[in-house]
Amino acid sequence: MKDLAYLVKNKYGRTAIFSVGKSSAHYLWGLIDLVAALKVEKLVKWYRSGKEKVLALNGISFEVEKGDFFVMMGPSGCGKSTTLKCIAGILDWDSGDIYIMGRSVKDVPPHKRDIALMPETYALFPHMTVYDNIAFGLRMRGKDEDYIREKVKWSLKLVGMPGFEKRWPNELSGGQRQRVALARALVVDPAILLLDEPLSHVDYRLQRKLLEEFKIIHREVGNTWILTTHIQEQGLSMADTLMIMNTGVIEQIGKPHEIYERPATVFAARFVGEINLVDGIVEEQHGEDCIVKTNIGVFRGKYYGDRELVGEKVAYGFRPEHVALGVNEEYNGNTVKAKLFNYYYFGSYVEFMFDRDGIRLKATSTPTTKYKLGDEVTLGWPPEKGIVLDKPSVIPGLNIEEVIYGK
Amino acid sequence: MVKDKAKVVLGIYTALLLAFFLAPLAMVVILSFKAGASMSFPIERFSLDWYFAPPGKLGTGGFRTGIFYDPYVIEAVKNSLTVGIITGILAFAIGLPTALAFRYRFVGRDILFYIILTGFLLPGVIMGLGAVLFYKMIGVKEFSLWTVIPIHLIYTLPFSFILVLARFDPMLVEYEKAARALGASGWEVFKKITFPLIKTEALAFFIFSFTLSLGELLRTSYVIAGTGTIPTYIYNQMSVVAPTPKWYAMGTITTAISFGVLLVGALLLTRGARRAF
Amino acid sequence: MPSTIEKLVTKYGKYLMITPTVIVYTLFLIIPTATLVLLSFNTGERYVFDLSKATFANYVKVLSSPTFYKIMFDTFGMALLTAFITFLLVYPAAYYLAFKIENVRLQGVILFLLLAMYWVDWNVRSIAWLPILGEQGIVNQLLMSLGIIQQPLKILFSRLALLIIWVQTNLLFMLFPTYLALSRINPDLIHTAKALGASPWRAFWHITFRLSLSGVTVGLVFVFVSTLGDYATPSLWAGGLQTLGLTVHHYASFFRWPLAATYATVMLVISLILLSLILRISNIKRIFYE
Repeated sequence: MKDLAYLVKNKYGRTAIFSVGKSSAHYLWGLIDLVAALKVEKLVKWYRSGKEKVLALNGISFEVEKGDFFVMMGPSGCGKSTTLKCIAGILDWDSGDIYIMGRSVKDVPPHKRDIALMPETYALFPHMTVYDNIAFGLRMRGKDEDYIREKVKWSLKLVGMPGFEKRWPNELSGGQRQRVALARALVVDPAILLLDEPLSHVDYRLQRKLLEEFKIIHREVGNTWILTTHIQEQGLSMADTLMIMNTGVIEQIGKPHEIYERPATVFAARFVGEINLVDGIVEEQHGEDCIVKTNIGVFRGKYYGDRELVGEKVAYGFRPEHVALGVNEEYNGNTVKAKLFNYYYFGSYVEFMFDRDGIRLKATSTPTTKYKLGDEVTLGWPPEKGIVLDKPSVIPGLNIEEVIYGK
Repeated sequence: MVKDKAKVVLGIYTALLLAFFLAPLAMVVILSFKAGASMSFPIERFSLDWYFAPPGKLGTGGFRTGIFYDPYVIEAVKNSLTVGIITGILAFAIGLPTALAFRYRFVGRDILFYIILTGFLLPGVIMGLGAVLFYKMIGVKEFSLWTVIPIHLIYTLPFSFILVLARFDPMLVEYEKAARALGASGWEVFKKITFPLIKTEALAFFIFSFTLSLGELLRTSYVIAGTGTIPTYIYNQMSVVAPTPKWYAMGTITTAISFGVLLVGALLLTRGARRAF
Repeated sequence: MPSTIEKLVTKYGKYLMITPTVIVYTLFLIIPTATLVLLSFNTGERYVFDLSKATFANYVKVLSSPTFYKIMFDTFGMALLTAFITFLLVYPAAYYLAFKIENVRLQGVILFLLLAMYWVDWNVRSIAWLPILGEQGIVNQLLMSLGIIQQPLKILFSRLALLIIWVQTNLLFMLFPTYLALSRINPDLIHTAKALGASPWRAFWHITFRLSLSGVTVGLVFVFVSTLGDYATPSLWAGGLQTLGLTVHHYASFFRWPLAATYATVMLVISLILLSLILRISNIKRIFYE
């Protein structure tokens, strides 16, 4: 129904003039609910300064479904903020295109795109009250004051700050400012809401709280949210669809649990969680099941790709939470003996650090006093939890060993 | 992709504004090389007469001498330079310690700041008149360069002061404390830590005070006697005597001195500048 | 470890460091200004204040004379006009410098050039207008050769000339505060405004311009106060126009010190009010030492 509303709004509420033909067809298409909210096509962006240029986006392409909570995640400099800013229209790009609701926005300035932005620095207008800040987008769109009053009230209630209308930005705490920034973007009712690192500068407790609030609001409002972050937990817990980026390319897109359990590359595997990695050579491959020979043992694992790997060098990985400590000979899974050299107590769980022939292995388990430093312990994990990764990264030309053990 | 039309238009406008601002000066310089007594274009002949003509060459009036030969002009230049240099040194001597002290809190810091600023912002007429009355009240009978210097000090110090304050490395206090904690005495800290880091600021103090002093007129003319400084001399001439391109020559010389000194100062300061201005 | 003496020195050292400045400013700024204000309460040609003869006579005389109000009107009018025109002229250039030139170094260079030109002698800037606005100046020559006028216009000794010269003289007073205010604006604010639906022009008007107003006000006040006190330029180029500064100078040169002091005090009060206004608005001290 939202698409119908969108079409009607466009036909009667907007002053933009659409060209006949392609665009109209796209709008009709949108009615049938087949068009994605956002489509990025082979986007390339260079950053130039003087004589130097740096490639920020290397021809990335992806789509975002309507109503999705889409998270772009990656380390600093991977291009996620750049992409977001291109979508918002505050950055130009060099080649490729971006389609919002099926319409190319290449030559469309930001204020004519159906988006709203919540920037990393919140950027509340210091010379306006909370009310005027939130009302800003609506005023720009020519809404009348009664409508604005209602909407501002609604949005403040939504973000849990009713009655804050007359306050000034410099009187607010960090978390409050953020919520006002969110309200300001929400109130405009954009097709796509863009949030740039919204939780990166907030302390841990507040992060959790805000995170939950985001999801609740998103569900209630129902538009498409696109969010960037470099904090792995946030991406996993918030996203409907998660996209991992790495220096201008997309490592993997999928549902969080897909990426976590079936990462496509070493980089992706590492980025979404802790993983023990060791290099090895594939000895046998039957469908998804593989047997990999490494320096510390021969292990069974799963491979979710489509290549023939026998004889190939791969990375073999298994996550700490799947490791059982002190398994006996009857254990039907992968095992390795290792020496405990350190542990970290986190209250509800303990991280044990083991060493086997110079290779560090991590295991997490509920607290136990069974082991002391220096003990030789047999670790075990199920075969189906071992992951075989043939690609260090989507970026070509990288060496598996270097990626595993660090340059 | 939105093209930045605004940038081009604004750029042209700014260039035009700059031209408006600089054109008169350019003309002064050019016209100072004009032969003949009329003040305007066109220039029939170029000549260095207004700079170098010895007395008598251009006519009998004393004001028709090239400035390098005119004893009054030379005296005015000497006066200006003297006042300027002494003002610069004094400004540096009392202003720099004050700027250094401003990094710490002390009683009356804000008031002092405002008072210093007032020295620069207060209209010249008020300061000039006040100075005259003050001098007369304490019994100063005749005016000289020494009556001028304090007034210039008041006027020029603030500008250097805020410039230097803005440029101080905020870490300076931390470096000093660290040096103290490592056992250095107060004097050693100053000699080895503070001074090297503020050398350029110290120079800036002198340079800006010096050049500001060179161009000051409104306050100076109240407290001076005799030929005066370059600006007062020119002003007096302009009020009394028919204009000749000699004034342009004088103007060019002052511009050259000020600009030259400032250029040197700026070059020194932009080594390690963190931001514009 | 610092000795007791050193501890004392560090604690009170800063007072020592500011003492010379305090002395100089008290002696040569505060006391002279006080002397001036006091003297306005005497009459005649005395130059030392006599408490026994203190009177408001001068003030009565001044404040009840119509000439005074004419002078104030003229002075204020010219000052406001100068300030406003300077603002209009300078703002686009300040905007260009602050936003359109990415290289910070280049910004600094241009500003420095402008600054250097300011330092040039006061008079030089005004005589420079002779060849332009004078009877044989470029403007007249141009207009005559185009046949628009027969006789050369007497532009130079008039209000118009004063206005032009003052605008040129005060350009920098306006430029620097405006530029500083503009350059302090966080570009994120503008981007966000655009991403919330503001067209470039509306983003400028609602965000950039509003935020730059504090700097603009500072500039306006600077220009205003500077024109108030300038007697040299009007005396040379304004024809017969009497400004406040000129009046003070006028009476002083006739040795009517108390009367000059009265006018000067009026100017002082106005200037101080305006200056304190900008100090409050722009919170200057925070920029410089906190």
